[in-house]
Amino acid sequence: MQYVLTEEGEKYLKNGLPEKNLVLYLEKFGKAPISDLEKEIENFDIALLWAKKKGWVELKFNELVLIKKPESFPEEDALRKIKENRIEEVDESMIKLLLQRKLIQKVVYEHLEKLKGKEVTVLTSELIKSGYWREVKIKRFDANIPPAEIYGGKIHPYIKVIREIREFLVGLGFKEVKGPLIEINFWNCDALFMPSDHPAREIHDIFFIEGEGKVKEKKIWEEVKKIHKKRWGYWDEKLAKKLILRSQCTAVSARILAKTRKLPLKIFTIDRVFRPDVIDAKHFIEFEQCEGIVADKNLNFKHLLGYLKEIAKVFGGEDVMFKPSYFPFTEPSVEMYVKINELGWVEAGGAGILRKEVTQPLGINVPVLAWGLGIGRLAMLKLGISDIRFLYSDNLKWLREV
Amino acid sequence: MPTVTFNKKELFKLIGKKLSDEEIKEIVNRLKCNIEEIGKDEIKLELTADRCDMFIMEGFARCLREFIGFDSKEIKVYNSNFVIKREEVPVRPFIACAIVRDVKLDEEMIKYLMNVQELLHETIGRKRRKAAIGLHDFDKIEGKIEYRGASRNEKFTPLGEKEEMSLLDVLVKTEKGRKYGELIINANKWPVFADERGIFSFPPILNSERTKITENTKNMFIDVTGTDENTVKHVMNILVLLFGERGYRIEGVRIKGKREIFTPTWIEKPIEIEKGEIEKILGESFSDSEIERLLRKMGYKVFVGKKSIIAIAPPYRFDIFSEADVIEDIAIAYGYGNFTPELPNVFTKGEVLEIEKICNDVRELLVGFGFQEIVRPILTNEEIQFKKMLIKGNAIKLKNPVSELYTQTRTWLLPSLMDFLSKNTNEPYPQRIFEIGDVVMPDENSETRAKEIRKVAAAIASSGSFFAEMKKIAIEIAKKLGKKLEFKNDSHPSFIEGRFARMYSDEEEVGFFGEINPLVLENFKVYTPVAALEMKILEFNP
Repeated sequence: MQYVLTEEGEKYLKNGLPEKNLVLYLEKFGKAPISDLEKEIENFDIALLWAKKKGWVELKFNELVLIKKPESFPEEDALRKIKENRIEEVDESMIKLLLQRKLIQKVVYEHLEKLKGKEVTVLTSELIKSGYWREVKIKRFDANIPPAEIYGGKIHPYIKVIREIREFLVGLGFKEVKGPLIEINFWNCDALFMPSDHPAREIHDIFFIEGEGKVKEKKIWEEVKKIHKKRWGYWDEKLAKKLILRSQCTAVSARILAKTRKLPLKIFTIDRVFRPDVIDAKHFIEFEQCEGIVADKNLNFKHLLGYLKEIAKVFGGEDVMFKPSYFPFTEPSVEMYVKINELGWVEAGGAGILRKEVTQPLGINVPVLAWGLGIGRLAMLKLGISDIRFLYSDNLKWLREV
Repeated sequence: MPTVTFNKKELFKLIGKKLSDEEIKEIVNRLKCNIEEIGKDEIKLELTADRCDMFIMEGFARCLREFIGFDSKEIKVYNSNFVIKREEVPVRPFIACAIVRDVKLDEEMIKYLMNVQELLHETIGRKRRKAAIGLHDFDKIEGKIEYRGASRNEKFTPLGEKEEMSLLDVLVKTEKGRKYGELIINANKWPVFADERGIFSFPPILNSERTKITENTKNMFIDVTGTDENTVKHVMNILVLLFGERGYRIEGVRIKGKREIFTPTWIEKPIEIEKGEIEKILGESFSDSEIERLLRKMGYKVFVGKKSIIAIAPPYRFDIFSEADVIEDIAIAYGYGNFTPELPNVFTKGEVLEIEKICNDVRELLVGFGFQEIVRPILTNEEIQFKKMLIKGNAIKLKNPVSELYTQTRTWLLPSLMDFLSKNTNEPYPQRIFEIGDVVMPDENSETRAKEIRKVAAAIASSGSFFAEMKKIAIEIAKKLGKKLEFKNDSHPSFIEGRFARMYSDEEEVGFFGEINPLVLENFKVYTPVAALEMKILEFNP
């Protein structure tokens, strides 16, 4: 319910309540003759009435005597609060009193008056404040009617999966690193002991771009050259300098190893790679890879399997199976499968111990365990989709609903 | 990874034992191959690129036979005393030849041999460049054989033709000639094998009709030629394995040129391994006899010394050249499933990249403002990122694109957003989207001639003007990046004149925002006003 001050109320708030003015006057003199007070105090009748009622003054012969000095003037406080829209701080008996003294009055809303007894669709804050909500009927809503769409913002579902994997690997003590998308063939292939004519280096498997890069690590360059000539009989130096779009995140591991002098080293990267594939439900020319390495003294094959078993947990399966595999840069090489209830064995990633032909030219003389996770597959599993292109979807409807 | 299909009956005949599907599955699971399909009569396998010996049924059978503990017959190469004269032929300098005696060929076998030839050509032969195979009826060859360079006018009747053709015509007019001609066309002299009646083989293109193998062929002549000595040897040894497994007598020949060699080079490869090294790499200790047993399972001969073990790899295993390769075979024979996974005591603190943390903050901020995140390819095209945006620019271009949609790397994010909006004009508006992603700029000073920038871009497609809201959002993003922005009104062809501003932080331009030019909207067929911003988060250098 809303109230406003009456004209009288406004006047008292500005000039003081009559009984207050009376008391303040009497305070100076202790007592005063009625005839004087009638002249000095505005609205003396009212002042006298209330001051007597409250037991502050007493009439002795023709004089008024102050018998009790009041500590506060609650009506004045209440008026101020109502004026300042702080009505909730004023108790109900006070409101009654002020109404009785005609210092305040109820606010009358003519437009709300018209709504009395009618049905409203929207409950407004005015209806609540004025108390008129009591006088109206609030329209019933049918919960069966379909609503208008609301589209909140959302994080991309694939990014969410990537974040989960990232947090998971950090939890296992891996530190995240990043390497360039535009890469020198040398880091993507040659430093990983892939012979110059390896099939995965042809134009069907790597995107080439114009120009040559500069490998600043001259010593590593020479060592890699030596090992290729020794093992493969030749090395295409020009090919090694060519610029490409990175086709595997192992390139990042190679760059990090080249810089590493402190052990143990436990790193991972989750980033985009590019391959000139036919674009279909299973292949897209860009996708994310997640790769990591552990380098330290005394690491062995059992440790590799140990890490893989831990990493496999991100797939949500406890059961793992290891199979022999082949990668040009690892020996022994492993392929990991994870058992997922409804799907059976799912290929989860590849791993191995880096060949000495890879680590020695990079200046690393301890075992290096390397692994890669098939995170595109993992994301597709988690999101229940069968087409990889959804991960880079241009379909807003899907993104809004997924 | 090559895929091969073997006939189960044939395979079991070669192995010498019939195996149930379950048994095959179990063995294959422990080896370097996967079963794609296993049917009533056939088995389809996916193999790894290193084990070329398993590409052929005979090699696969030998591998399985030894793995289940059966013995294989030793394959020997005899001396035929046959001499082949050779000239230097620079375009295909390496050759190996052999004679196979008393073969029995039927239609099926000839088809199988053709398939093997194709598979080896495509894989280790690198489409016939590094090595190519010719199979001939030895009895149709008359007199001495010579490998020489021929001029392009010399003639012979190639396989499948009725009349003689010049070598040049073979290149131009036959299907194989057109396909593989580029391997030799620029050479002065082209490689041929000839006998007293003339050319009977024109590697790596075609054999002759005269010496082709048929069901009546009794003795076979094999030629392997190529540009890589090791590959030529390798391919020849796989053929020796093929015919040797079938029990045929294989005879080598002497090839006389500047120097004399004997082919096939059927030589076993000994690798010495320190005993301690096996345990060091595998984390499991084995007794000498155990190691011997495991290596034999993988087809090795073994000599156990005091401190080391000598593992002798069969002549067809070209994937074995160091200790690690042998140790992997020990692990395979032992069974990957028999190792107990262990976690070492390597204590390290995990850490997310700082940039990813910042991006996550920005991501959550924008989601809070009601934006939907999108993830788009980094590859794009000239049309989308420049022409439709009404600007000129310079991007890094692919030399071998596979689709005209993806020909260059993106230099800014906004076109990715516009392209996204253009594909969703039937979805209810307002559409609020954002992307956090990498763009690539040419940079001559970088070691990769490029620099990569992590950026954020956001767009609101909705009727009404969102210029002010975009500015507010930019300020909020900048706060997350710890930057204070200053704005300067400017103009940009992609934006409406008078509704574009650049953002600066510490004098450096960090981004821009504004309302998209209706011409650009028309180009993308987006008929709803769009306000957008783009801001740099971090620059990377390799």
